[in-house]
Amino acid sequence: MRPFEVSSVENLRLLRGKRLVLDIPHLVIKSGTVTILSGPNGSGKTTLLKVLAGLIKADEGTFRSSTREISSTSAPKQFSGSHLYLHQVAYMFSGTVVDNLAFGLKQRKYANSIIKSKIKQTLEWASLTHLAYREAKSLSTGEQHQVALARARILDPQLLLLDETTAHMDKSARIRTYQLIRDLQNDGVTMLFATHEEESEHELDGVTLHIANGKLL
Amino acid sequence: MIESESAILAAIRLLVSGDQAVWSIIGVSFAVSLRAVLIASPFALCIAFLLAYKSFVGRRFLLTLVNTLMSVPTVVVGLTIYLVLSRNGIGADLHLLFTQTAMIIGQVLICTPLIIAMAHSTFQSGDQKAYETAKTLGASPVSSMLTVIKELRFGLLAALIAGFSRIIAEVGCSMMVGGNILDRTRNIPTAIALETSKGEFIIGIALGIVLVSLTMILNVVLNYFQGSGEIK
Repeated sequence: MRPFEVSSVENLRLLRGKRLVLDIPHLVIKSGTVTILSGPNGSGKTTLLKVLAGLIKADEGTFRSSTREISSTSAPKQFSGSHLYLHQVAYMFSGTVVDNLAFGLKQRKYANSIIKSKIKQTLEWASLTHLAYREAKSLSTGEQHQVALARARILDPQLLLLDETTAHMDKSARIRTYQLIRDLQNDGVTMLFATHEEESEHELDGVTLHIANGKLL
Repeated sequence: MIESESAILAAIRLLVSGDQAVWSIIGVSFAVSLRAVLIASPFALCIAFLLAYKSFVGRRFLLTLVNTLMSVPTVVVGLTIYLVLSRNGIGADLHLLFTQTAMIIGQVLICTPLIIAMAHSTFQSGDQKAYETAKTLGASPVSSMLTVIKELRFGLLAALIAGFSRIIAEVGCSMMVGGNILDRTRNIPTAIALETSKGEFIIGIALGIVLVSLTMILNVVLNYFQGSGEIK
């Protein structure tokens, strides 16, 4: 069961000292779509994504689904494990690719047989089977991002928050990563993709929102 | 020079022959200091983690306090515990003065600030993304902390070894609250101080060799593990 599926955010405000770094009166995230969040460096993209992932607690704001609402205070606890945030440079835990894919499943205390079956299926989905027992930290940037996407997909996230995922990749890794993101979209995963490159808008089929100085334009 | 060499050889012979008094002293040292570092470590790592990853009221003050406590002389720690546990102290009824427990309490107080400071530095220099990734993948706060500890284990191991090295070699507190009683509270540093004052340099040198060897072994172990964790 999906514990809380966000469809809109209202009156989101975040202060750093006296500076207002996020001020978003209204944001709609349509289920099963890709929303592209475009803006220059320092515009508040990462901060917004981290708030939506529950990694940063907003000072004010309400998150609504069709059935209920949740306050900014309890958002971090509610969103952990369901709103997955992927860093610009993916972080790989020590261990193999399989260990990384198993991480979230172990947190949910799945049985070993289920973990193995899900990992096998996800590795095939991402065409990463040949890397299964490689040390994850030794992979290339592009491969690490693909593992991070697979690590997120295996948990069936409600919302996937991608922070300039393709920024540090060569062309072939970008093509492969965009393909995985389109596959996720076809699977019905809701995504918010932050970028400052126009290329993403051409590669992905979704609504584009523009952000500057912490405000949606 | 010849005298020094013969004293070192005599000290080695004393160690190899299994001299009961010398090995009892070594046993007390390890029993006390290992227990102290095992007791201090979980608490110190938790505090260091909170200081590095959480913002709360009094965080800066706590950091300053930890850094200050690091440089408190061990005799001052010993004096404080002595006053608490002595006949007129608030802990007199516990009857802990001149016991290994009193030495452990003192050593816990001595190594905790050092482990906190070094572990805090390790947490700070580590990749914040490890914590965020664990959290976003659904790990609980405790599980996220354990994940970060696992990721930074080589640096944190150095902090624990530094804490152990500090207390295995401290003399002031152990002397004051342990009382330097043979087979009970006499450890390597207090024995060296005593034997040297008596002019018994051979036992002092033997125990010194043990301390230096121990430091070397700990560093070899640390280098081995840190070598395994090198960035490739």
